[in-house]
Amino acid sequence: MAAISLLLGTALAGFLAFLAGVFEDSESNAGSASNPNSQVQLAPQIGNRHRYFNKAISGEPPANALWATTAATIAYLLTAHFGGDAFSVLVASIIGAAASTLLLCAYGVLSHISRIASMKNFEQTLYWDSLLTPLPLDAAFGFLTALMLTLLAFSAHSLLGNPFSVPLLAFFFGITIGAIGSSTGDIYYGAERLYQHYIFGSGIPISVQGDIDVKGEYGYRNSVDTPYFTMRFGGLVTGLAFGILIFLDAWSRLFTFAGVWTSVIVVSVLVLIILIFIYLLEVYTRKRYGRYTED
Amino acid sequence: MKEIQIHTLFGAALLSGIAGILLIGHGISIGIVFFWLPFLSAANSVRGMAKYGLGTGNASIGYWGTAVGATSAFIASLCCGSTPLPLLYTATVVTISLVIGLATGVLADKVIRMKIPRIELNSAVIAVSTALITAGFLLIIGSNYCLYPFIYIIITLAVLHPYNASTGAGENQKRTLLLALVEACMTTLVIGIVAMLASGSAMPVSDDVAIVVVSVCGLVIAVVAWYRLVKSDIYDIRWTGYSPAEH
Repeated sequence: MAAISLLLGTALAGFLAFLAGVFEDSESNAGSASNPNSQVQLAPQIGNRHRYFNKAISGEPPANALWATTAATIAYLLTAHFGGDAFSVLVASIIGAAASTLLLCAYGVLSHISRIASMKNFEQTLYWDSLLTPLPLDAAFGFLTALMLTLLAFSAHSLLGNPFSVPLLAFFFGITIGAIGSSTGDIYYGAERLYQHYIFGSGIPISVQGDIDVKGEYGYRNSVDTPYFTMRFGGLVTGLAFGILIFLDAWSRLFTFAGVWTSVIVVSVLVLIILIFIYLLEVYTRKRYGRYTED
Repeated sequence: MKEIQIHTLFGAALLSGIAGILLIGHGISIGIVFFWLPFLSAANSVRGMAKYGLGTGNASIGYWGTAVGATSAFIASLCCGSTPLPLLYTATVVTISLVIGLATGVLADKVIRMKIPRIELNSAVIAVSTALITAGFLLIIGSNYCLYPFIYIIITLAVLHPYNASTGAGENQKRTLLLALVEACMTTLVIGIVAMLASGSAMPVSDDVAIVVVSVCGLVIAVVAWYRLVKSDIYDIRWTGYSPAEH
């Protein structure tokens, strides 16, 4: 029974983490958070007045830690009121995620208005529709991220027997998913989508920072277009990275050959295998494609 | 416009925070309003450090200070949180956070050589202000260690965010501090709701309801004041449209 619970927990944790990654990257992109946010922030200063949702919430890792921890804390407290079975965990998680989404909306609105108010010298207008149109989309992705991370924290705690409390696990997951979304997913939005008028793969030299695309396929580009684009690759890659991380970490719970040191040994071996794979991939890529050239 | 000095705001926040802990320690839950000033003081110090070029990267610097503050309060609550003397608890929280906050600031300046003006003072202010808020919240919610991550991160975001959200050439201290007040009220509102859930009783406790009510009142007043300032600072507000230069 314990083995089945562990196997189920491992599969469920990996699946929930994959979904959380997809939703998190889409949420951050709908609000131009994290690294692309710096580019959207710089745009009016060089004459590119835009209609993007400028949601700066102190970086993706702490923001996601707040949404996940708030949702998990409320769910954790509600579960005690509801009785503690699987159904009550699900209902409590939905209520917790909804509460944290309200917080996300409040922070998002305050950020956007404050940032635009500080752009007076560069004649950036506050358009209500460019805030209120992407906000429900951003909130929906935020809700799903918080829900997945809360369920993931409950799975890790109960099915996988993780010794940490549910809110603490959600905090760790929030920080981690924010860091992965910021490093993995943002490249597809910040370095590619916002700079489509530059040669693909040329990076973002300091001289062109802030010179972002403000017009889309038709009319001005808005923040609803962005997740439509990034969901195809950036979201999935973020989901894959976080999903693999959680799935492989859960393996450390499946074995018991070395007592309490088992998880340390299993995770160390997995990290070593990943490092070797990444090294070989980079060597292959450099040999195959060579250096970047201006032509 | 003349700006409020760091030490002036910190002095007021220190007295206010101590008053808040003493009131809550004696069962007067609406003493939570006295923690709004420490929020402003900490946000002002994040601004003080980040405006020297850190820009949107102010998260790291604030993380550090709030982590010192929260950790100091958690340690103090484990050592003497259950003491019947709130004054001893407060003195322990302030002393630990002040010493560690100053030490990290000196290390950042002398060892890491971050070259940020007044980093020692600002680190200490963020640490002490955050520690006072954390200590007060622990008295309200109870020292359940499962809630530590939530208390830490909700205070951290409210401290880091005001300057991060207001960054830009037109940023000014008054609007940033008003935004800090909005977020401080929002934070105490959420703490009131979580306290209701954590109390374990079927019906909300009147002390927790009082926290929610005063926080909502504060939030409404702060949002109105902040939005008035936004309207006077902003270039233009419209429902929809494009830039006049383009069309």
